[in-house]
Amino acid sequence: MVLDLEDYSDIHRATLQTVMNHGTIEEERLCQIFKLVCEKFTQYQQNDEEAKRNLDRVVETINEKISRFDQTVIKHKYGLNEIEYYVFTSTAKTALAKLQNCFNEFELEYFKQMFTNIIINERLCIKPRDALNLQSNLNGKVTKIRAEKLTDLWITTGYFYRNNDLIYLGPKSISEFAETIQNLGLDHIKKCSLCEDIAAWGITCNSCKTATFHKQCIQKFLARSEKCPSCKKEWTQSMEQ
Amino acid sequence: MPRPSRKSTNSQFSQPSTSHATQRVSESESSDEENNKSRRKKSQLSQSQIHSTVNIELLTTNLVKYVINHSCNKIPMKRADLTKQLTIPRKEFDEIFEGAQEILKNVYGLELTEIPETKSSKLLITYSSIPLVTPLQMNDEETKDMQLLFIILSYLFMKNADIPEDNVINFMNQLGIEAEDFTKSREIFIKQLYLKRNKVEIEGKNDAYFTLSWGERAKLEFDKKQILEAVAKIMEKSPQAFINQYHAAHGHDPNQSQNLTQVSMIIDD
Repeated sequence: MVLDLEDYSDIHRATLQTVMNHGTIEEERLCQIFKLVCEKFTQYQQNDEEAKRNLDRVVETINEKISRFDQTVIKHKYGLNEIEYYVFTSTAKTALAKLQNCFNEFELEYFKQMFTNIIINERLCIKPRDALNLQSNLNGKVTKIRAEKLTDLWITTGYFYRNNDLIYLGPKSISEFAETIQNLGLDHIKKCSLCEDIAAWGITCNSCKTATFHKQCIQKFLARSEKCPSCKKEWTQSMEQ
Repeated sequence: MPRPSRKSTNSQFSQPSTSHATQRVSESESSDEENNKSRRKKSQLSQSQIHSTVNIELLTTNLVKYVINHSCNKIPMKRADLTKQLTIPRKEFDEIFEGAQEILKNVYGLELTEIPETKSSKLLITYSSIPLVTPLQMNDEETKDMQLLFIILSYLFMKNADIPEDNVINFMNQLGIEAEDFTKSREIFIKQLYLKRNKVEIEGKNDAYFTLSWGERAKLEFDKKQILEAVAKIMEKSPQAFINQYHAAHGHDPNQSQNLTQVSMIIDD
């Protein structure tokens, strides 16, 4: 028995709905759901490895369908924990995209302030208490309780990421606002010298001290060569930074 | 979803510039002068027909985007708001609406449906048209909400009528759910159209009271048969033991002849 993924089906729709509901979801978790969905709709059973491959194919087909609505599902390996995520992102630049009913203008302003304060920090993080205090800039339009709730919500949807009691820039922010972040031209936000995408918490070469890489990009490269792709000197940097 | 990179301007909405030029073609009836112009233009009909197709396609795409952006918290959209914000001409609304319905169903597995709010205004909601395979498909917050909602809807359904709100609160108390938490959730469920709250005034009495019942969204999203089966299982009884609920779930009047029940039981088996 083979799993037929040629036609756009309820398998695709259920997968899309799941990613949309979560905003950001770990590959492992989505994969488990995907297996259950396939089994329910087609009685097809598969192991984890096959499910991951099929899931990638399904996401590709979904993207062909939703790109005309300025949406895309991005697979993102998050630099801070090296976990793969699927992220539902909106690529729209028009005024229409701003029309939504989930957050009011003050709540969006609170998000903007949190985002800005995180992005200017070298480690791309903020203390939860400092984040909460930003609420006082909004003349009481966002209460402390609401600010806490919003922060939690933005952490679950992947805009932010909580680790060791700090709030970091999350996988969804890095995927959705990649262009904006790059355009800011901040010195501490480096591009990966191999793939050119943002390398937040990337690894820098010990010799030239300038070239920065995603961990997975440099690992792949070093499997073939032992030199820094940029300065061509021997790679001496540890992978645990 | 937040859009922090651009200024937050949902109150200062400006229409995407691309739709303006073609808009006039379909709106021209509103003014006499424009009307005459368009009559003179009859010879160029093919040109305006092309415009109008492009326009409808664009507006349909915009409507799909709008609906997706406004579906995440399940608060209904007002039909009047979206026709105004997307500048959808009245004449073409049905065509655009049906087009968007089809896309939402085919691509996203979402049903877009109209619910009358008052005689003149209509609300729009979306709900999934495909079955939920596992609760894992929902996010954690939604899962919590749905658990509570399932209990409330089951209670209302088993009680078989509009229930005074105090009874529901008492029931919630028995389950260890504080009145304050229930009230907060209730407000959201009412906004999302899962619950309906009615004021009951009795003549000669000063105190009006409120009842709760299933809202329009609950009727669309929840299957009464499944609720009955779930409750019957908990009570360790057969669903048929709850005769009124069984009839309500299977969509006929309990006062009708017994034969019908048996027929429907056979069909359901």
